[in-house]
Amino acid sequence: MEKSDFGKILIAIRDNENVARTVGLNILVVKIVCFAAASVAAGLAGSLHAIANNVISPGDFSFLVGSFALAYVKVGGEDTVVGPLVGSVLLVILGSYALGLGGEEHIFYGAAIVVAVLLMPQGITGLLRGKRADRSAGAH
Amino acid sequence: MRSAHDLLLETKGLTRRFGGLLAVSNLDLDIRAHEILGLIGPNGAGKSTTFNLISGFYKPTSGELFVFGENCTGKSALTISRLGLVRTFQHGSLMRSMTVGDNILLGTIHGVKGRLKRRERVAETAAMLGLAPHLADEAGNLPHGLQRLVSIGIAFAARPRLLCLDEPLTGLNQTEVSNTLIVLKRIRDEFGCSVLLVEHNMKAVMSVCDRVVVLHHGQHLATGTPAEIRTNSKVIEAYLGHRHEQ
Repeated sequence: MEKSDFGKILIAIRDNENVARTVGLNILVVKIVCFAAASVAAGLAGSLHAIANNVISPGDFSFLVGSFALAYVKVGGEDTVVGPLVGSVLLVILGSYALGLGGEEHIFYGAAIVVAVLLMPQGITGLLRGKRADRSAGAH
Repeated sequence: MRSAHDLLLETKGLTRRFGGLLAVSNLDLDIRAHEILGLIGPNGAGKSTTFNLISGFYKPTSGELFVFGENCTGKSALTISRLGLVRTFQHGSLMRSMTVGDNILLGTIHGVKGRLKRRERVAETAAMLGLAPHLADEAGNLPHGLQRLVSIGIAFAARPRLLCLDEPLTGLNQTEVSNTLIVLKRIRDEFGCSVLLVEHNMKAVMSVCDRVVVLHHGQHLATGTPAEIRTNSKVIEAYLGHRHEQ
């Protein structure tokens, strides 16, 4: 994904949207495609959720679920495809432990977002990548 | 003498107003084929606004804009860039997290089909700008002078017919300035691409430009060769102020 033309255009839009526009790239279409793809993924997840639980209620799609998703992305790192995966696995595991804290376990997710934004703006994957880059720079 | 085809860009009475401020007023500007045109003026003269108007980032309040003979008044930045007018930005028009090679590649995605052809285009562009040894480096880690060249590289990789550069020499040392000027001349001579240069470095503008346009308070003040501009009393007055008689 990150190696393809489309991936490069996405990175370009993140880094400097105006420059991408000046070399003839249609930013609007790319953004629409992104929103559509993200919506497809979310829709698919919602349908699978319904199949798995046999029942769905408005409570399954509350604001909290959205903040959980945000926490996964922020903690894992939003620059790479593996980032959100790492974040969700880690937070779901830690989150199950947090259940033991009682009714207020949701605070845990809020804290995770705050800590991630303050201490590792590029998430865990960004942190690891930075470490690796430092080490290879040190080896020179 | 001049045919319509020689005119790459023409504005007729181009005007842009921001509330009570007349940023660009009734500007007639033309850019010809195979020339480097300098656009200068004191701070606040309307250079950047003019730049944004001709590249489609601003819509004119009134007046008309013709790019390569087509009426582009009110057209989007995307439409204008696809016609072959590519611009850079004053502050860092590059992707900091990408390699130099990928940066330049961005310029080829729209116009060049095929992986091999794109790679050739990137190599040719990098060689021309002296960036070949840095293709695999992350652009954000390069020294400032090279970053400026990468910005030009992205734009030039699209092989525009008219390349508009917004203060490409800011913060460069003497060697880097003269290197960039050589690149601009090669872009004009070898690729037949005209260059619009907005720049504060007068020495550079005077040495590289075929013609110079001077703006002052949003209005056209003078057009001429560098030699004519240098001795133009109105231009001197705009830059240095009135002479006070005792």
